Amino acid sequence: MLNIQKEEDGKCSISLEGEFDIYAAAAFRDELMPCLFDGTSFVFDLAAVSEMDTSCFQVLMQAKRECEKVGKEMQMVSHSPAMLDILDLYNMECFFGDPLLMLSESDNNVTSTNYT
Amino acid sequence: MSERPQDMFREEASELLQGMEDALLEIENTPDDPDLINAIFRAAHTIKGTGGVFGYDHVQAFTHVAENVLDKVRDGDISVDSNLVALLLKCRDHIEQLVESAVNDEEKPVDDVMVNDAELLNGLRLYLEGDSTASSELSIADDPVEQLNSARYVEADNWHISLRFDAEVLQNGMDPLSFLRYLKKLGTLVSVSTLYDALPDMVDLDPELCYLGFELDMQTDADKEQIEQVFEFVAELAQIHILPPRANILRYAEMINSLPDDEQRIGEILLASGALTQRELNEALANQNADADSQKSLLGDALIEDNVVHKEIVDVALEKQSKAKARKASESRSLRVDADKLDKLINLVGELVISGATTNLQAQRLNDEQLLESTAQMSHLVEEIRDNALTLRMVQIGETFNRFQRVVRDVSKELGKNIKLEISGADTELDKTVVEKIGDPLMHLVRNSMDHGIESAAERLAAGKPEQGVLRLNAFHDSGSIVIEVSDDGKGLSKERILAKAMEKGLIESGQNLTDKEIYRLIFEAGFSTAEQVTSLSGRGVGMDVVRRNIEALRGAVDVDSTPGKGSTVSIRLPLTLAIIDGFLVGVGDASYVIPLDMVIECIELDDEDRQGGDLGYINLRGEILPYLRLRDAFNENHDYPARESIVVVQYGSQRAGFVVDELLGELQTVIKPIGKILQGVKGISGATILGTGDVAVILDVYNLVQRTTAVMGDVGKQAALKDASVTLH
Repeated sequence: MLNIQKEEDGKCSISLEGEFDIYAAAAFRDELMPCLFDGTSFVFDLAAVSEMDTSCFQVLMQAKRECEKVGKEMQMVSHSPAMLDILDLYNMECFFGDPLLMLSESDNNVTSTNYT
Repeated sequence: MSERPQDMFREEASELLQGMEDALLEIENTPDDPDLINAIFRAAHTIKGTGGVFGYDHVQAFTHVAENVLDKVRDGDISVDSNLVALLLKCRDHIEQLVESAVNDEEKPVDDVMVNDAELLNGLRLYLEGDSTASSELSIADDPVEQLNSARYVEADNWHISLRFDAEVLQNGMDPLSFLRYLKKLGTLVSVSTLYDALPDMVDLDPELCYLGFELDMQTDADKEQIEQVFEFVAELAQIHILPPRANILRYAEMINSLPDDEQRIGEILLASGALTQRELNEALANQNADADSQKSLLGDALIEDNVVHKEIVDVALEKQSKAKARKASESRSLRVDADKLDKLINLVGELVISGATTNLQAQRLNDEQLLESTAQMSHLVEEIRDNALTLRMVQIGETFNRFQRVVRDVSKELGKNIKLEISGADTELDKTVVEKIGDPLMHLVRNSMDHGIESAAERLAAGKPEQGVLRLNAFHDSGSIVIEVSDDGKGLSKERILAKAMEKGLIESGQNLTDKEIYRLIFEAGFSTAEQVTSLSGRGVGMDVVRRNIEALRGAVDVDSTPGKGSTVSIRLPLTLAIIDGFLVGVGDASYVIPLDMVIECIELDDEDRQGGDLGYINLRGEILPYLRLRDAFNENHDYPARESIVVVQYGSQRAGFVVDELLGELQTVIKPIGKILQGVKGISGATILGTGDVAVILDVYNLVQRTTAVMGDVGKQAALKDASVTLH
């Protein structure tokens, strides 16, 4: 489910909630697209994303690319575990460039790779 | 509509599990056969692998533990005994349930399955105890081709996997995510590069299509086959390259060339992920171009010319390839077809046969020679189409028989008896619809034989028989029918007990004179059971009469023979097909009747002397007695007797009888149409068909009529004659 709040200056806060799988993908794109064209900057709140699969992830990727192309700002915040998982698997953290709160599991990985 | 990949998985899993079961049953006798152990291991392994790809965690988790145990069996750490086999058989059943529930998209299998899960896992873990590394990773040597020492192998120590998914992959229910997840379980993903260049503008983007590609580097002990298996189900929906550690640079060149993306872009990714060094990349790209220039299209030649590999190794590899191709070719020779489509075809062929007969009739009426010739040609073709269409539905009975291996094993354990199953005639073919319906009756018969027929080991030894009882399943073709026999070498049927029971139930009256066969046949009467004890398997007196009814519903017959102390044999006789038969058309009064041609032996004229014999009687046919039945009486045709009558001699099983008819009308392709509910109770008819004229003809139930003929004859007081004849008959 998508909840878009647009301020007068064109700043959009978009909060995503629930499952973002292939069944939701078409609606996700359709709802997001007009806002992407009108808005000037975007903040995606991902705290309530319970599931994210490749179909919806592609939409986010393309959104990021188009924002970069025209110089709009796109930020993603409060990533849910499902969101962190797909970012990590696809190694796309740098692509989006948002600061992340790492999963505790990956924290462990970092600390355990000590050179001996 | 094409099958879902999940359904393909289910089918593959059920084939693998069947193979696993066969191997498990066999391994009890030859516990050290490495081929069998390997077969079982591979089945578990493959199911685990593909289950993982689909994200079926329950399937994967459980099979993993089973696989670990099997791995230890393979290494000789655990020896095979009947306890282990019993446990593994249960595991096999359990995996089947897990797969079923996973494929049906159930979040979690039902509770009692999960309880089962826990119990079996505990059982399996007992075998794993004392072993700290419960991992089953295999380290099989890499391709020999890759092992050759050469300066031109890349330095990186990782597997490189390049994936380009087809757009439809998401719509097919597969997400690239799940493949990456599964790879992570197989080893460590050192680097992942997601290629998104193919993403179109948002306006054109269809999020249900996949636009992504991946270049992966991973560290794993898994071999190439294991990695390939990860992608088995997506192989047709993706371009996949798997390069082993220290692969030849040429392989990279080849891969770069075949990818749709820009060469430089791929090169950069390979550099960034550490799969190639700059020098290696330059060399690969240069080599690729050089290759293209000099038209060295064959990679094998290129490799040899460059002294990269020895010729023998290339030969081996090529031979392997051609074998794989040959296997693929043989696979594609058989085709899975929806059974409904086949039924539709058969129905249409049936209609074709009928309208062909109409055309024939018209041609005869017009008496146009050319027309007659072409209709004759056409009927010939229709006949061939009919035969071919029917053979499409024929399947071997072997698969049905093999299911009983497991039944016999389980039931004999339950009963504490030692019983062996022998199968013969497994390649006998019969109609698929018949095969499907014969399973339950056979199950009753097999269980019955094991429960009541075969004695306990102690009794057998006391009777001077080998300790192990034998149950036989046999099938063969016999004059237009298929005969299936279930026989055992047990104690045989007890005539005294059957008679006593039949009298108690009021099925017969005391003083009735019955032959052995008639006595044995009483066990098929409703409510009949002689077992002194009702067990969980049989003995409740429902069973045998249900078996008989099921088989009669298929236009078949069931019979039993027994020798005290030696065992008994139940034989089921079934028509080969339920759809179309060659029939013999006869006329009685105004009506037409069809007799299945396979059962017709000969036709003779009934001479005047014999015609005086009344409605029912017998004739002397070349020294043998032949009981006959007048169809006009059987079906109440009250027309005047014609000037002459004929007798059609039919045979069913070992019994012969004659049907007296007014007219012989010749052979006819007969499409069997079911008869309405009202007529279903009528004895002596088994179906109906439509003639070329549009009239309906009744198909005779030969078995029933033959029974009637021979039975009534006994009552008419012809015993003396019968006695004389029985010498010649038997």
